[in-house]
Amino acid sequence: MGRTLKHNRWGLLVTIVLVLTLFASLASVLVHGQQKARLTEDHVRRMRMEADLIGAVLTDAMLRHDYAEGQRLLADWTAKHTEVVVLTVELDNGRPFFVYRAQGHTGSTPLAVERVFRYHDRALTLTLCHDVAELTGAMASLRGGLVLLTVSLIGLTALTLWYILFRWILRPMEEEIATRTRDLNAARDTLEQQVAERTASLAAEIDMRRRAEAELRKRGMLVEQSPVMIFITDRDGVIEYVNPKFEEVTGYVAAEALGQTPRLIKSADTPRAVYEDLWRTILAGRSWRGELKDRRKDGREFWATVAITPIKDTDGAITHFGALHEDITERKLAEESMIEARHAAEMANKAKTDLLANMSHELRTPLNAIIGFSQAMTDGLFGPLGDERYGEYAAFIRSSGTHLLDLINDILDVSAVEAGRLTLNEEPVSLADIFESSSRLVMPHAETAGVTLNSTIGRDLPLVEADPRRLKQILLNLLSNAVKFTPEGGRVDCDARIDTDGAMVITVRDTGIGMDADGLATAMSKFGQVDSSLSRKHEGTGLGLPLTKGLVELHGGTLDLASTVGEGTTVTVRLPAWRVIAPTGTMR
Amino acid sequence: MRSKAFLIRAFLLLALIMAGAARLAPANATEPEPLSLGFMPYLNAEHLIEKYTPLADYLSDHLDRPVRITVARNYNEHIRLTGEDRLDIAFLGGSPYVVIGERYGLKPLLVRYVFSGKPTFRSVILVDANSGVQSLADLAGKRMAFGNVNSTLSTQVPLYMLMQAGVGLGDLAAATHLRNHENVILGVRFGDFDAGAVAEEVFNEHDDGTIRALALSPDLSTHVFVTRTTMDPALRQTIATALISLRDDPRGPAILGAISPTLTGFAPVRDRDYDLHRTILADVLPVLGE
Repeated sequence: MGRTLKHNRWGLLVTIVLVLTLFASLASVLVHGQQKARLTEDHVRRMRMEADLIGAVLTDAMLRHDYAEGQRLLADWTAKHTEVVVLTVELDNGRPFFVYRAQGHTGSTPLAVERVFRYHDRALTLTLCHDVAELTGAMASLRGGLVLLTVSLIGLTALTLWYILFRWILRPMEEEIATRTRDLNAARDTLEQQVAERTASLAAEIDMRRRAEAELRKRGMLVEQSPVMIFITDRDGVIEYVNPKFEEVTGYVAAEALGQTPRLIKSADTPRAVYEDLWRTILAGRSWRGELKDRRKDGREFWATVAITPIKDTDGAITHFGALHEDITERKLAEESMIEARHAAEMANKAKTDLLANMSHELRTPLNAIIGFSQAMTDGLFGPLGDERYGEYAAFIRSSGTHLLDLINDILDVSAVEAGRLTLNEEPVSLADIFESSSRLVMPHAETAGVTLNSTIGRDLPLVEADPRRLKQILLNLLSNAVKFTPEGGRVDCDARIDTDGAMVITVRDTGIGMDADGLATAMSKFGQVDSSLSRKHEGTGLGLPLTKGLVELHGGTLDLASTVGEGTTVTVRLPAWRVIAPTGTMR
Repeated sequence: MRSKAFLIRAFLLLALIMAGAARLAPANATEPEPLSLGFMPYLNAEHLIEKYTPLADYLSDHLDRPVRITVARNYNEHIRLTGEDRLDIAFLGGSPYVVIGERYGLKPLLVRYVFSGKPTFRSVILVDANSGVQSLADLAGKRMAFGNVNSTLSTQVPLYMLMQAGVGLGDLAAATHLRNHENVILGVRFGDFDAGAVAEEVFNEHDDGTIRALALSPDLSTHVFVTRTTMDPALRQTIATALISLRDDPRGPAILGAISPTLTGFAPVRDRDYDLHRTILADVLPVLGE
C-alpha cells in the first residue's frame, strides 16, 4: 500500500508538473505575444517620434528650400542609425526626395512608419522602416528569459510542490497514516486479543455455566433423588421447597408442605431447649447438627439425623435455611441392639474374667496340693511308696500338674494382658543378662534335642527400660519355641542390636520346620499350633506366641514373624527407642 | 559625418585665425606660412573642401608650403575678403571678379577653369522635364529659383537671359534665391519652382532626366583664381604654372576630377576675358539692387 501511495504521489507530481508546464508554456506564449506587441508598439512609437524629428528638421530645411541640406540630413540619419533600413521621402507630386534602402532589404518589415509633413503648400511623405533585428534580438532575449523563467518557475513550483506535497502534507499524512495504522493494528490486535480472551472467557464462562448447570442439575438431582429428606425454608422458617424423599417419608405432598413451617413435622417429644439451641445456632450463621424426632402426617414418629445450614447470599446475609433430615430409625434400632449386645458381651467377658480369676485361684489351689504332694511322694518325703510304679505314677502326676499350672498361668497372663490388668515393673535391664538367664533354662532342652543355641548379644549393648521378668518371659518363650520346632542338628541364634532409628531389635532365628502364611496366622492365634503332630511331639499351651506378642506390645514394641517352610523362622522383637537407655555421655 | 563637419569647421576657423595672425605677425623664416585658398560658398563648405583638398595638397607640394582651404560664409564676405587681399588665393566667378575689380581694383589673375577642354561655361535655365514651359518668355508668372544673388551663373546671367527674353524680374510670380545651385535643381525637380538657373556644369551633374534645360547662356569665361595684390609675382607665377601644369601631372585627372567631372585643367586668363560679364552686370545689377 505504501509503495502504491509513493507511486501515486510521483504520478500526481508528474501530472502537476505537466499541467504546470502546459500552463506556463501557454502563459509564456501569451506573455511573448503581448511583449512582442508591446515592444513592437513601443518601437513604432519611438519610430514615429524619430520620424517626427526627422520631419521637423526636414521641414525646416524645406521651408528654407535647402533641399541639399535636407537630403544630407537624411543621408546622415541613415548613416548614423544603422537600424534604419528604409528611409524615403516622397513629395506630393510623386517625386522622390530621398530614397534609402539598406542593401538586400525588401522593405517588408513590421516596423514601418509613414508620416506626412507639410511645408508651404506642399506635403512630404516620409516612410521610415527599422530593421527587425533589434526587435528580433529583444524577442529572442525575451524568449530566452521566458524559457528560463518558465523552467525556473516550473522547477521552483515543482520543488515547492514536492516539498509541500511530500514534506508538508504527504509525509506527515503518511506518518499519521502509519501511526494510525500502527494504532489500528495495535487496537485490532488488542481487540482480537480481547475477543480471543473474551471468547475464551465466554467459552470458559459457558463451560463454567454448563458445569455449574450440570452441577446444579446434579445437585438438583442429588437433592431430588436424595435418600435424605431435604427442605428449604426462608429466613422466617416458611418452607419453600421439599424433595420427593420428604413427601415419601412424611406423607405430606409438596403442596401441603410449602408455605408451612417445620413445625409441621415437629414431634412433641423433642425438648423445647433443643429447638432454641437450633434456632440460636442457625440464626448465628452456623450449621446445626443433631438428632430430632419427627412426626409423619399419619402421626407416627421417627428419629432423624438433622443438619440445618444457613444459606447466605454473596454479602453473607442469611436468606434461607436448608434442612436435611435422615430417617435413622433403623440405625437407632441397630445401635440400641449393639449397645445391648455390647453390654451383654461386656457382661460375659466380665463373667469370663471373673471366672478365669476365680478359676486360677480355684485351680491353682488344688494343683499346688497335687504338685506338692506328688513331689513329696516322688521324693519319698515320708518314706518309700513300695511298688516302683507308684513312684512313676507320682512323677507323672507331678509332671501333669506342673503342665496344667503353666497352662493356667499362661491363660491368666493372657487374660491379664487382654484385660489390661497386667502392669509392668520397669527398670534398666541388660539384655545380655536376660539372655544368659533365659538360655540357662533352655539350654538343657536344646542339648537334649541336639540343637545348638548361640547368642551374639554383647555386653556393650545399652540397657533398656523394661520389666525384667516379662522381658525374660518374652525371650524364654521365643528361645523355647525355636528349640522346640528345630530338628536335631539344627541351630538357634539370638542377636540384639540398636537400629538406625534408635530402637532395640532382638532377633531369634532358627533353622526349624518353618511355617507358611497360614501357619503364621495360626501361630499368632491363641491356642494355635501349626502342626498338630508337633503339638503332640512338642508339648505346649499354644498361648506362647500370643502372650509374647502381648507382652512386647505392652512394652510399646512390635513382634514380627518371618518364616519359610523347611528353612526356619525368624522372630524380630522391636522395642521403641525411648526404652533404650543411652550410655552416659552419649546422645540418643 | 557630423563630427567630420565639426572638425572641418574648426579647422577653417583655426585657418582664419592663423591667417589673421600671419598678417599681424612677422613671417617665420624657418616655417613658411600657409597659403590661404578661399572660396565663396557656391556649394556647401564641406563639399567644397572635399573637392579642393587634393588641389590644395598639390599646391602645397609644389610650393613647399601649406595651402589651407577657406570657405566664406557668403558671397559678400568672400568678395570683401578677396577685395581686401585677405586671401592669398581666391576663387571667383566672373561677376565677382568684375565687381571686386571695380570696387577694390583688379586682382592679379592666376588661371581660369577649363571644362571639357573649354575655358568657358554657360548658365542653364532649367525646368521640370514634364513642364509645359517651352521658352524663356513662358516663365513670366512662374516661380523661379536662383542661386545666390551674387552668383554669376545662377542669378546674374540667367536674369540677363530673362531680361533679354523680355521677362523682367517683376514678371515672375516669385524669384527666390537659394543657397546654392544644387538646391535650385532640387527645388525645380521637386516642383517647388517652375524653373531655376544653375551653372551648366551643375546641371549636367544632376541631370537624371527629371529636369530639362530650357535655355543656355552665351559662353562665359569660367571661374578664376586670383591672388592678393600683394603676393610676390614670382610666387604668383609659380602658382599659376603649377595650376596650368596640373593637367599634365600624373595626379591631375584625380585632382581635377575631384573638383568636377568635366574639369580638364586650368588655363591662363586675361582680364578682357570677362568683358561679357561686365556687360551683363551692367544690366542686372540695377535690377538686383546692386
